[in-house]
Amino acid sequence: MTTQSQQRTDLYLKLSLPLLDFIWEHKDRLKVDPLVEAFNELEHASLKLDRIMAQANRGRLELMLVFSVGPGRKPAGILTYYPESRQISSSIAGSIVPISGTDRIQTAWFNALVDLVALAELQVNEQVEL
Amino acid sequence: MRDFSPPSEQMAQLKRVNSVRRELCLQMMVIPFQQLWAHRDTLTLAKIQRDFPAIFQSVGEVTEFQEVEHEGRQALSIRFVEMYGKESTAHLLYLPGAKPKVLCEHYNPPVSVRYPLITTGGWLNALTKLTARVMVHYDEDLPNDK
Repeated sequence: MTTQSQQRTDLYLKLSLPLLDFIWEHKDRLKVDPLVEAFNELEHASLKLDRIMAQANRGRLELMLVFSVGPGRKPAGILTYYPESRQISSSIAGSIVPISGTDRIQTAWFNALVDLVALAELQVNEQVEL
Repeated sequence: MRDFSPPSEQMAQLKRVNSVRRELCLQMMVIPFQQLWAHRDTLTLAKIQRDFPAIFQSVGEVTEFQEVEHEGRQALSIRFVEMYGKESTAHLLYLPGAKPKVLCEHYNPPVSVRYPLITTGGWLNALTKLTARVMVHYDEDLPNDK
């Protein structure tokens, strides 16, 4: 039987896919440094964004988002999206863990992703308007 | 006294970000609402309050859950209330096939532009948690997209 935690994880993953699709789809138009800077200026964000990387790794395309919990802290986690299979994996402090973790971690990941896509969408729309 | 408020240009940018964020959250509410809509005949407010009491660690519970008629169509009406103080409320409405609406919302203390998470994002998280509980209760899996 599915647990509530697993079901919530599945829901968050399903909700996250279109967000990650958006970043992947617009990766060539996004100005990454200003995007990271704008994200880190959001005072409500509990995670800080270190890097965004779109790359091929061992023949597999991936979008990697590296977060940390604050300035000077070690990376809190890496969210990796594989656009070809539309799969998501996450690691925290070097160990592979399900994206669920605790409710707090899960919500922090998700909220960060929503913030990032909101900023990315604004950046893309502003380019269209120019 | 020193003014710590961000410059107006930065504030305007924050408002734009919050506006996009809100739209994203509303779009994402469709998936949990679809699951809840499927159970509208058997899921009642009394059942939710009995079986899934506090749906969020720090934010809220459900105070209304019912099928209603809205502009000539059947819709699902949900009200959330914040647990602490019970002074922040939101009334969400889902019409199948459409983006959910926030009919009214009230925040006390008022939500700062710089800390908007309690708003639509908070209710999305509450809705997601409620939906997860409902689906486990009915022993359901999410439908596959493919």
